[in-house]
Amino acid sequence: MIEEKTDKELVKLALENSDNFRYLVERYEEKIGRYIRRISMVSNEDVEDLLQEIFISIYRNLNDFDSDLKFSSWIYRIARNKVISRWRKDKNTPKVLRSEESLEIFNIIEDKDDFFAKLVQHDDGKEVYKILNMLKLEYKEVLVLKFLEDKSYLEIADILKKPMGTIATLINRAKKQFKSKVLQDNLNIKD
Amino acid sequence: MASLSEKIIQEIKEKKVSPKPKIFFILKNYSVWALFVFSVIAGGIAFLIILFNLTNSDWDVYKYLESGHFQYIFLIMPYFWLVILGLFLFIAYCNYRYTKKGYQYKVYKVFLLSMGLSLMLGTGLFVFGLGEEAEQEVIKFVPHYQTLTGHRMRAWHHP
Repeated sequence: MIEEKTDKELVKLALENSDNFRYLVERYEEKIGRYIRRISMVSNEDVEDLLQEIFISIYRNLNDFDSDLKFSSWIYRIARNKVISRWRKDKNTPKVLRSEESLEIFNIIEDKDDFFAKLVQHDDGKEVYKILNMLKLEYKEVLVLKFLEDKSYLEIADILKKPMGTIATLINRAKKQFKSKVLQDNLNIKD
Repeated sequence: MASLSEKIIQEIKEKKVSPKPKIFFILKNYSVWALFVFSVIAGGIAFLIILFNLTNSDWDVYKYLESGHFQYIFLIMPYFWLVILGLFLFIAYCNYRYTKKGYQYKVYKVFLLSMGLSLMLGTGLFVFGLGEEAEQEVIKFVPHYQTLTGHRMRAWHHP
């Protein structure tokens, strides 16, 4: 059964026959699509374009996959790089807010951090997403990976290609930045 | 409507996309390492010549000159080689960061590793007395070398 195969086994199968690459696409398209939406706020059409571009790039570079790394970390890294190069090409893309995503962010973050939990009680979630988008990319992406994608420090380090210590520092700073933006935005959250 | 996986497989077939061969990535990885090793060696040679120049800087006569101890060190410092050493340390650092696992280490650790290796190599070569030979080789290949490294001349022009 394909579902029981590991990512590494699927990579091997895809290298033997391109038709087998579909199993990797099917396993990851939803996760990567969600990740793209979370870090980039692009439209659904753009997400599909990006996904296609990302998976073709993954297929081209399949032989570069280092089995010491988690396959998911490797493809998140490729996805992130593609999203960033798309931004660079198209700096004026309007950012779209989607309230259903905002609510999701709220619900997940709520369980993991007291401050975020307090914030949830004050807002329906829209502000959180707005604030995430006001943060510098490096802060936004660590918050998304840690709290929404549920990645470990090691996975985040592998995805962003940064040392683990730096990731811990970035997460702390990102949380502080997030909090100060909330306070600036007069959401009036008390510790 | 075709699913994303179908679209992708179709594009792979239509555009005849194929995975880049493993050897491409192996060579890419080796070339990054090779450049790192080259930079460390070049840094080592730069440090060797720095040591050679510093130990052959007329230390026995400086006390007869008007310059003070620190001023004399300032005058005889082989700046050209210090810049070269810094440059190769930087290149070595950049290359190490581009290795597959290079990103896992903090900037200062990578820099210290590159510097440590270059300094150890330079000191080792110096102990074997290869300083003069190395500088003579450089003189053959670098035009205006004497102008660039006129530290001894500077010292004597500031009696």
